[in-house]
Amino acid sequence: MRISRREFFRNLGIAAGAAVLVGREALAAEGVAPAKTANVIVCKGTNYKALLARAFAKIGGLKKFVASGDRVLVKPNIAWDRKPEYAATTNPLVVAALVELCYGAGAREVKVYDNPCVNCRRSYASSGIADAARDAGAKVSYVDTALGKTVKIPRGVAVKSAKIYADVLANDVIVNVPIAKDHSLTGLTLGMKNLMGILVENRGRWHQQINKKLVDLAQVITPTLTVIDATRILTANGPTGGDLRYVKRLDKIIVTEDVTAADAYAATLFGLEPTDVGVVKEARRRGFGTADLARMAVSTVEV
Amino acid sequence: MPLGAWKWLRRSSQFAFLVAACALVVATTYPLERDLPYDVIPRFSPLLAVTAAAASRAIIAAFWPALIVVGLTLLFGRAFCGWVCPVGTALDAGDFLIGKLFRKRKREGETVRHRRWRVLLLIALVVFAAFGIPLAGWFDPLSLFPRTLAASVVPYAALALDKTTLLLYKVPPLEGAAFAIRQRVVPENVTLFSGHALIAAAFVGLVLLGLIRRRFYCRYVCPTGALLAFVGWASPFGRRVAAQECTECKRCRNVCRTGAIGGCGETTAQAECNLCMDCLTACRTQAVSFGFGRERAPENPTTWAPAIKRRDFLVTAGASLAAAPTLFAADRGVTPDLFLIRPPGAREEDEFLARCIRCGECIRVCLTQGLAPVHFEAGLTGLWTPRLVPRVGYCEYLCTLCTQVCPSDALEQLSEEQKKKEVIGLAVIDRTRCLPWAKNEDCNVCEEMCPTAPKAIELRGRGRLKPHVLAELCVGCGICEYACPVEGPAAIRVVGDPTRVYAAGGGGLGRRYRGGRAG
Repeated sequence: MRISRREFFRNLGIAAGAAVLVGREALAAEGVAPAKTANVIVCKGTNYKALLARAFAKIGGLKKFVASGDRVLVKPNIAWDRKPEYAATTNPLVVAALVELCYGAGAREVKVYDNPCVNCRRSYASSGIADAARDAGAKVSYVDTALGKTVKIPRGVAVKSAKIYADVLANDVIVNVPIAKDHSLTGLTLGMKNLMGILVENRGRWHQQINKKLVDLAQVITPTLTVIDATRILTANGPTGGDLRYVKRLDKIIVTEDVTAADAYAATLFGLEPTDVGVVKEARRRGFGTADLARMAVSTVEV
Repeated sequence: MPLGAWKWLRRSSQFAFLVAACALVVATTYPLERDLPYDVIPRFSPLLAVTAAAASRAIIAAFWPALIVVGLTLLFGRAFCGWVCPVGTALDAGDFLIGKLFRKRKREGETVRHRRWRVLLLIALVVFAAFGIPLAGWFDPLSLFPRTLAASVVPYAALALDKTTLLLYKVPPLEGAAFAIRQRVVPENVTLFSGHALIAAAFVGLVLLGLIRRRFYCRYVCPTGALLAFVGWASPFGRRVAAQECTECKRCRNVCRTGAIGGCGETTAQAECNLCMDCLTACRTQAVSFGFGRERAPENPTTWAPAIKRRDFLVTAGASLAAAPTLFAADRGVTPDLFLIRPPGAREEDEFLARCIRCGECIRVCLTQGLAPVHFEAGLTGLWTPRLVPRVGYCEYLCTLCTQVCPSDALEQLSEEQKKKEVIGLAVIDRTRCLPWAKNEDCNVCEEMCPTAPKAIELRGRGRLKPHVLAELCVGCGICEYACPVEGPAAIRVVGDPTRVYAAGGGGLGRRYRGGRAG
């Protein structure tokens, strides 16, 4: 729980800061650039490892987040039994690159897992993530739904507790690696939606007031880093896809500490406003993270 | 070779085949990547080959291994029953235990007339098969064995392993081991099929019949043994008794597990002897030997089973001839079970029923454990054929495992591309229970899960989005029903393809409606 507390206070700080800034903005004269509250690095290219390394360098280096001897969870989207080119699951090359970089930063152990929506054995294999991550040295395992731990969400609006895969809480660092996809209920499925993969309870029941619940969850299980895989994005028929015509190749990766900023920025890749994504709108309403593009310090990395 | 060695050789053979058969059934699971003949066990049965061919009016080439058994039997008599058959071995083990636990068994002397029951059963099965109703799989050991493992034993083992490892989680030093076992061995869905108890009870019943006589099932019930008795009654290999050595002590007769030995030990019923070789060592004077040749022991007239009375034959055949069409008609006259969903690749219902040998291989391999044995939802004769129960496990969109392991091609093998177009049912929303429809709550689980492209479930509406099924796109995989968060029966349910079951040649849902599997 050490991580949760630290994250909790950090987020509390960010939220408080954001609230102050929002208040100040209302008073500020027009034309004054708002203060930047989130760094968003947009990578473009195909050498994912080099791109990510440079992106991390821009936000202070991966060592700032991964201390030597840390246990790291790299949490991709392995939700579906689909091959990587269908863009329903995270690009295995991005996952592998992250695993290698985390080890490079001094991680003692890097784990990769997700609780899929369909059969775990098939989705782990089809997505290519199990093999790629294992080759990169990660400990790949299936989520054992019997090992749940109920975590209280004291400030939860729609949900007051969540049953989380216990192993998640044992990590020092969580690197959240969703793929950017279309989704009918949340508009898009991105960083905060990806966190549903650590739940080991009836997730069907999470789909009522889903946006509120996702923000509730992100407040207690806050990823250290969110890396949105937009190397391929799924533009329609999400989140399952299943046809290559729904897939758009962008070769972009978004790196940030702020999961709300990640989701907000990723919306623009689909030609949407951040607030078109229900969960971003909810986060913004509650002052969780940075939902305003104007408040993001966006920089680009190309290799 | 010392005489005792034969017995051990036979036991080793039995053990090896039993272990191999069990291992094969257990190994019949995702991803089927080992180069093993997963579906081979039932294909060794001549009876299944004959009845499936008769019922479906087609020679089923997949049954070629049955020819090996026929050849073996032509040469050696019922060696298959004594040396190979896994059910025979299981019964031997059961008989051994029963012998130990209840010392006193009835004398092995018996009324020979009872041997006719297996022959009469065989006749009935063949007649029924000719009318398109193959029921041989209910009784055939090579269907019974994988079915019992698939539907009962393996699920019991999985459940036991699941619960045991959960207990081990509470013992900190064993936590790691428990986790490793659960990762590698315990299936993702641990479920007992609704029919598990009946199938297990049927097998236990067979074993308990050993209380009456050893190898009771083989003597009086097994129609495959009856068929092999016909095939092997004139085999050149057999038991020989040297008359000048024989002291007529009847030791061999008492030790014989199938009651094949008659007189004072000097005669043998070739149709009954399964070459277990127990009599070799039972004989104090070494008068007994096995081999090819004319000096074979004379036929034991008292247990000559294949020779049933003409009256018995006529009564059985006549009764079957009358009953088969009645049953056929009755089964098709019952009210359709709307929710009977056949596995992907299933042929037209009549042909599917004709070919399906009820071996349970598809049930074993099903990744989500959604396939379960049918009780009487497909009529009386549909017992133990497979159905999909989506609330337990859906049909994984790109999975084709069951179509790969069907021994009789009742399920035609599908490629991944064919599987995407394979229609097995249709999802129907119950608007009185669906959360967005009935309670005005957000929910898109069925739509989110729907694997087709484009999705067969669409969310529509201003304000609250509500799911609608697009019938022409739905394949009936049932993942929507599986995942529906409404408690109890799902608010979206998959109905089977009614044209499959009850309206041969009719229109409606299903692959015919959509222009066939190839389209």
